[in-house]
Amino acid sequence: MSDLIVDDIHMHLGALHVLQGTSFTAKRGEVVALLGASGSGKTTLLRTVAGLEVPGKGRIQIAGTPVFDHSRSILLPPEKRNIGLVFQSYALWPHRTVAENVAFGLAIRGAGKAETAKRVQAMLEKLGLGHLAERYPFQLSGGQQQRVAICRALVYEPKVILLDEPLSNLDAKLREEARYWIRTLILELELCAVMVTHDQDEALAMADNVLLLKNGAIVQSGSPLDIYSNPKSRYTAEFLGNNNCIDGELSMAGGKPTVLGPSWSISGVLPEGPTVANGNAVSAIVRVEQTAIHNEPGPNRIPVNLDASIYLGNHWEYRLSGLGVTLKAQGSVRREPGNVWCELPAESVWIFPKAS
Amino acid sequence: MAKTTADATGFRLSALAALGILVLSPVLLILYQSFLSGPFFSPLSTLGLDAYVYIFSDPDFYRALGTTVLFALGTIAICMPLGAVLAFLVTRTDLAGRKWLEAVVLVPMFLSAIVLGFGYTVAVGPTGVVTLAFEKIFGPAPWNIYGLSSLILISGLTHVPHVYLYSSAAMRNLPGDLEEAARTSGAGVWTVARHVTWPLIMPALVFSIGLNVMLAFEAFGLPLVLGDPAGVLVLTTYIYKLTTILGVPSYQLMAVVAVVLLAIIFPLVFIQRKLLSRSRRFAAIGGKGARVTRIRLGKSGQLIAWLGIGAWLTISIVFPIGGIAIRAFVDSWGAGVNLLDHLTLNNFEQLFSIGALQRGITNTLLLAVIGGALAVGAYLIIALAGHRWSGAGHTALDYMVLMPRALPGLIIGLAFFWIFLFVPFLQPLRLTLFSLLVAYIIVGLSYGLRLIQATLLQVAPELEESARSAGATIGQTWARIVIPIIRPGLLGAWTMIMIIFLREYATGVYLMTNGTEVIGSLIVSLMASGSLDTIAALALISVVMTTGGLVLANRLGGKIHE
Repeated sequence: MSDLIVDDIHMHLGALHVLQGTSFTAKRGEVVALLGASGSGKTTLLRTVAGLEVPGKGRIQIAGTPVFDHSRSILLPPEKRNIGLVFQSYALWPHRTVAENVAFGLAIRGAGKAETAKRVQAMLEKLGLGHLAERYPFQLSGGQQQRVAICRALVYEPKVILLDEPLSNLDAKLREEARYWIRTLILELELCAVMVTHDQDEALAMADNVLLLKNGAIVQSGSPLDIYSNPKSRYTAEFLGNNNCIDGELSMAGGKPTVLGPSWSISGVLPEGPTVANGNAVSAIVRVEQTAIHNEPGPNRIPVNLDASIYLGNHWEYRLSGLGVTLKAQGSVRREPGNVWCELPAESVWIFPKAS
Repeated sequence: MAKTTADATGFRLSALAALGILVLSPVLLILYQSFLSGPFFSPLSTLGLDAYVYIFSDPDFYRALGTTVLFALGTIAICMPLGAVLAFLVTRTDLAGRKWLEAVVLVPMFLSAIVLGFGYTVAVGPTGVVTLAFEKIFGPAPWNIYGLSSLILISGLTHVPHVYLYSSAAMRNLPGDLEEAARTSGAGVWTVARHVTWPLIMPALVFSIGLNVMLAFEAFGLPLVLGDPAGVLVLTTYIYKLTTILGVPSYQLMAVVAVVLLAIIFPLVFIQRKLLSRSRRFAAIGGKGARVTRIRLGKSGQLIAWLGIGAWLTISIVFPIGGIAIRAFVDSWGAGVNLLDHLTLNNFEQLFSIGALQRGITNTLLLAVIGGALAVGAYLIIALAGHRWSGAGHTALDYMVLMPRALPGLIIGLAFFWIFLFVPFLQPLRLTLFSLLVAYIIVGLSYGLRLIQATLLQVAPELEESARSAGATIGQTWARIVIPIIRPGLLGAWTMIMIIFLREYATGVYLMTNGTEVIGSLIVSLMASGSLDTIAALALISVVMTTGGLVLANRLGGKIHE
């Protein structure tokens, strides 16, 4: 059974239709990531689950209890929803110590003093904060503050935990660590977690299910592997990963969808199905890491000039230009400028109608 | 980001209703009274325009109206340029001693106008200490402090701090890089001043003009002390004098003049509010107070600046306060009297031996300290009621808070006097400090509320939202998160309200009764009987209390605006 059901949520801000019938579900021991560019409505969606925003239409159910149902006029305030919310800014109360911050949810629920102290201490120990209990938030580092915020949201064992860009205020190293331990913690405690992020790496690394949002609607959802390697639309294909995009004309000769350029042709797949007609303008999208450089011609290769090799620490990036195309490729060695062939493997070339 | 789910609707609506009763009852009573032919409690009074007809055919009314306009324009003509120049010198030049000056400049703003006025009469009045010293050396003094021109001059000089406060804030917030960008693109100092600096501080200056026009229309203390003896009446003193002129209390006439004042001032409050929101937008570009490159004044520049500032400080602070301080410790006064022979503490002894005066001091302290705290509590309730509340309710609350700003303290006091006199279950309260406290709370409402709203705005919404999502109701969130966080701001607001209540004098003029005397209003009523010894001692105590309040405010971080 799903612990969180969000069904057909609509919301307007003035004339703007910020959520356009969004639905998803989440269950225990699973992380759902709401991924999208800024303005895609991902944070608004999370806030409607928390009860901080009131949608105009739809239904939200947490652990079997309807918390919002427009048709039945049900609207529970945030405090009645049994959720834990971790804010992007952490929102630790500056006038309370770490222990007092964490104890708040238990105190509100009428837990006894001794029990509260025990559970707070256990929670803090679990996240390695046991020795900081008496400190005030401003005396902590960013990473410690984030752990406190998570402790505070988890200590009263909410049914659903919501995380709003939980990692965006950490530096790069800490962020990679946090991705791992937060996911491990969620799986270990068998929580039902929903997180908002604009960072695809974060979504792919942490989530079991990624929902990609655009203009308040879900464009595609699926496992990280699925959403990364099987995009169903041009938006998904381009939003994720590092991509090459080449424009040409579609040819269905021989039953194989092919993009024709001025002096080259590349065959690929049509993820959206046969919706484009022969001769229409199309774009082929292929991940940079799928492209390879060769010294001789072959199938699905474009003759290009290698303009430069750029050193990026763990690999080299090659800048390539040909007739009507500019491409990027990666490799482990430096290459001298000159004429090469760039191969785009047919199964990794996604052909979409050209954006109008 | 959109709002947090607003609830606690019941609490919000009851606070709004209570505020409505408190604010609207005096206003509506005045309006109603103005349309009656006699006092509203008299069965013989009938509805009609008699009172309006009387006032609008009274030449004295037109004289007072004309004088008030002249008084307002004159005050602005003096305080605007001086205040702006002073602000410029302190914030943008390397004026020596500017740190020290900043602390002193605002003092006249916090002194009760009646105390200031009295200070001028004992310093530069016909037998004032400065006048006498001058006459001893140079012969007859060429000035007369009673009359419209002296009134305007003194009012202009003592309102310099109000202009200084807003223009210095605007000049300080001016980002230095905007000016530097203009300088590096080739503009000279004066071009920069005209095209960059001036347009950016314009809103603050326009706002100060509005504020000072309002203050001038509401002024009562200075016109009473400096204008009245020469027969110069402004609208507020005209109201006050109506009883004397006619020999009988003519409530309906007073109400008509109050309505006229309200009709003039309320639009000003409105415009001022619009301007304020605009000037905030301007200030918002300011960023984090970039370091300014100060203009070097040079030796002669410093000298000229300090001559001007020194003259201003002497006239607007040293004269009145010095005059009071000396007058309070001598028992005789006049030409040929050696003050040293007449040094005495009698004036104070007398103060403590007369019950009414003694009570005046304790009552003033009680009202300021405890009443101030209660007022802050009341403002906090109203501020919370409007906190993150949108829609019609919030707008209604906004306008109701503005309303008392358009009513001079004298009129608020008068209206509450009527209410406490004639609302049956309130009658016993008229004889207690409670009646004064209610009126004071209304007088300080818009200022106090603004202080508290400003601190509430500093609480990030997430801090409240995280409490809500952790299971706290809106009431628990306010009690355990919001109020503890803004505690320093509340303390600061308390000290500022304390100062406002300490200096208040007009509100108690009608409301004060045997047992509820307050210093300021006592001075107003003693003014008529002319016992200078007592007034001087009271005035000095008032100055000392205000200074104490300012020191406390400084300690507790009270923010000074308006």
